[in-house]
Amino acid sequence: MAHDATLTCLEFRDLAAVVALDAGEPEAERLVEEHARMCPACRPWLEQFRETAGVLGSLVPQLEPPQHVRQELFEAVAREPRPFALLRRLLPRRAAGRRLSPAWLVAAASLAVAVAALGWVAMLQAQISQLQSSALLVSERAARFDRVVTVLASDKLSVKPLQPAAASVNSNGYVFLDPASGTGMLMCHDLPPLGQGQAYQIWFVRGNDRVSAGMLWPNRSGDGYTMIQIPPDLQSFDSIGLTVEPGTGSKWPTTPRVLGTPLNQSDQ
Amino acid sequence: MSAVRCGGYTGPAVELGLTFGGGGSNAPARPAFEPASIDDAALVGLVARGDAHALELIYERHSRGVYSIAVRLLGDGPVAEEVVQETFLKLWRHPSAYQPARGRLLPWLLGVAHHHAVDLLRRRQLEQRHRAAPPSVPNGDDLADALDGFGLTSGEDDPQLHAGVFDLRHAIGRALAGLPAEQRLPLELAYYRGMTQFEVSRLLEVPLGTVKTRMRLALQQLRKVPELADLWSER
Repeated sequence: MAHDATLTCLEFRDLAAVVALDAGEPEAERLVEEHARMCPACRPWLEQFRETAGVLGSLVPQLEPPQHVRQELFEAVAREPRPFALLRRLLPRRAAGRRLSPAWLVAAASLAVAVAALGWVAMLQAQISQLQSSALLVSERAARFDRVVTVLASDKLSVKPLQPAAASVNSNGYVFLDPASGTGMLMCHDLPPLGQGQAYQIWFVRGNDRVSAGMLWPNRSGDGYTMIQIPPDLQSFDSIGLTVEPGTGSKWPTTPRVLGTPLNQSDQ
Repeated sequence: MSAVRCGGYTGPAVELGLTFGGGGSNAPARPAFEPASIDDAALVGLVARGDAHALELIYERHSRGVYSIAVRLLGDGPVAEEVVQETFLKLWRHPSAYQPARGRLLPWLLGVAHHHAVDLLRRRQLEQRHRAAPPSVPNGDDLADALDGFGLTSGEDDPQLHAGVFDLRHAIGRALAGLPAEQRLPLELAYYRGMTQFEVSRLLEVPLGTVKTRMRLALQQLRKVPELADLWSER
């Protein structure tokens, strides 16, 4: 039973016959159609009544329609082609072996040029972006070399060799200190490999005091250098050392020293 | 399996046996295939793809039936011709309105044509009433005419009809003639005269509910005709 408050299934069947014979009012037709949509059990009644009524239509004496009816019908059909047919006419068909019209050729060529131009512009933009990155990198390296040169050229330069803290470590290196500029450089070789996310942190040591001087990220061979900041009261510090720390740096050494050197010894 | 081309449609030749034109400047303007080999549902499928040749073939098959029911209700003339045009244009514009699973094409076309013709007939009657003509109250002569029958045909004069349709028409014609008069008259007045249920009720002087029930019983009886029942059992 359909959930139709205005037409029961029994009422529907009587009214469906009326509608199938086109003897109902528009409102009756609406009610019947609505009920048929909502009630799968009743829908076949309407369909069967309609087909039966349609067969009744074939019982009348058969007459040939005038020829002009056909002509006018297909003129109307030609005036309103279906969308699919229209699309089919617009699209070129290779299988048909037809030559493309000049308009199609121009349109296709324009499309190809536009696509190629877009690709070229995108490629140029990528190249420009790459060049900008390279220029920035070169500029940073040049600035760093300037600082290295400044340190090495200082007449107050102090150079100290770094010694491994354990016999099992074969690393070595130098620390260059320029108290005049407050800048130094630390260079190391053969440092033990680091774990993921780790780096070497440089410390100035004074009794139980530790002051961070910077971070060092060596290459895969364990070689590397970095600029360090020298504390103003450098003379008060006892030594300098390297420990393995998280890449973000630590406030206090969390691992044993790997390399180091006392600061109160004479320069070499 | 060889492919065939029908407009832009490429499909298996075995299914439809089509070799429609349209593939080049030398292609024939009219379809070059055996019409009887393609069923109506397949043709409507081609119409849905925008194939006007398929619509022409459907017109060849069924325009007589459509025109005849229009003339029956409206008389011959431009209005009946308009019904033919509108019926086939509906199929062209909305081919999906016809669902092969719900019935054959000819009854569907006749249903569309009948609906449109009845609509025009009632509009014409309404205009006549507005012209101050006295209301068309059926008198005893009308009823006598109705009881004399509706001049229906057995279809023997229609060589274009398929054998199946021919048999069906015969069977339905016999079944219609065999209906009790109280069931046959409401049905014939409604379908072949385009009367509303109210007009039938007034003419026959029976309650409206009785008219509805008799129409339903008449259609149910006709559905029991084996040739028509077989069509339904096949679905």
